[in-house]
Amino acid sequence: MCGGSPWEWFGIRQAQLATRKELSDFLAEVERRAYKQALYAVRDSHTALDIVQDAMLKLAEKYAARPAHELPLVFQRIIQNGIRDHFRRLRVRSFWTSPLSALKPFGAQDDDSDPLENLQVDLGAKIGTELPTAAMEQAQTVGLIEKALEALPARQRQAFLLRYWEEMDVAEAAAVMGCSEGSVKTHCSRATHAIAAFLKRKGFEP
Amino acid sequence: MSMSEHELAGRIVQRLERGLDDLDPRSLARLHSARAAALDHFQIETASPLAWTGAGSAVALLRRLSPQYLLPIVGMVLTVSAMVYWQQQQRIEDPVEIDAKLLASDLPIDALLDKGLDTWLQR
Repeated sequence: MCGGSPWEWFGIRQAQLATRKELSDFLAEVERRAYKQALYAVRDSHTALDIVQDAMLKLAEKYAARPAHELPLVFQRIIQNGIRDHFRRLRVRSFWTSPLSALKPFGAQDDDSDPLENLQVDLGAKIGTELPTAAMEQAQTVGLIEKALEALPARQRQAFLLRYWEEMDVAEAAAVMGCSEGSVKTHCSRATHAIAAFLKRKGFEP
Repeated sequence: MSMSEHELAGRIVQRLERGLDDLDPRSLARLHSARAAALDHFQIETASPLAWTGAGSAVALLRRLSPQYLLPIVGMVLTVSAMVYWQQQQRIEDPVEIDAKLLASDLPIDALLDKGLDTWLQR
């Protein structure tokens, strides 16, 4: 039975809106992960930062009236839309600059293929050799995981990050991705095994 | 022993999480300023502490109502409307029915054949 005021029977709760402090804490907690997510997708730090900045602004301007517990889901949707818009803009641009490129959708990847098979990583150039062994190994593993994530098909990467990094449940991830829960599970499984296999081939354990 | 998928994913994510500490200062500064700019635009529709969720306007209120509550409300409104309409119809129909019964029951058949009765009924 519904308790409290009659308003609650209609799903109207007393003010539980995100406060400025809650919003600030939330953004501080998610901003670096959001940046990395965008970076894995667009592979350009400036664009990734732009996407995160726009998402933060949009969240504060248009969705601040949401209860605090809804912020993660809303923010994820905004980030994913930002990434999608970026690729849409690129596709439109490439349509005009290179008519032939329009024959194949930009970023379209075959989910059955394993891009990690052909991924060449020059970690020596990326990571300084002056680091202590443990720190260097850590940095190398992170570098490899990030390269693997970038090489994954977009949907697999998205599912993996939402489900495991953002700790969303399957239903929430499916809502953000706009697909079925079964698809989320499949994408997550493929992504996890692909990354693990890639690390193993490079001689690293996750 | 092989790890479960969740364990494996957990370990991968743990590594990624540690990698966040190594973000370059310029990106961190940009994220920080983006957060500050976003908070400057922070606006809440409701100013009163007694405000209800999304009660900024009637439209906003309706938008906040989830479908699982909205459908019963719509059903209730329709039911009440139907009842009010039925009651009004009853008020109109009752005297007509009584008149019809009075006219039909006691009148002799000759009266119904009388042309004057039609004229009188039409008045």
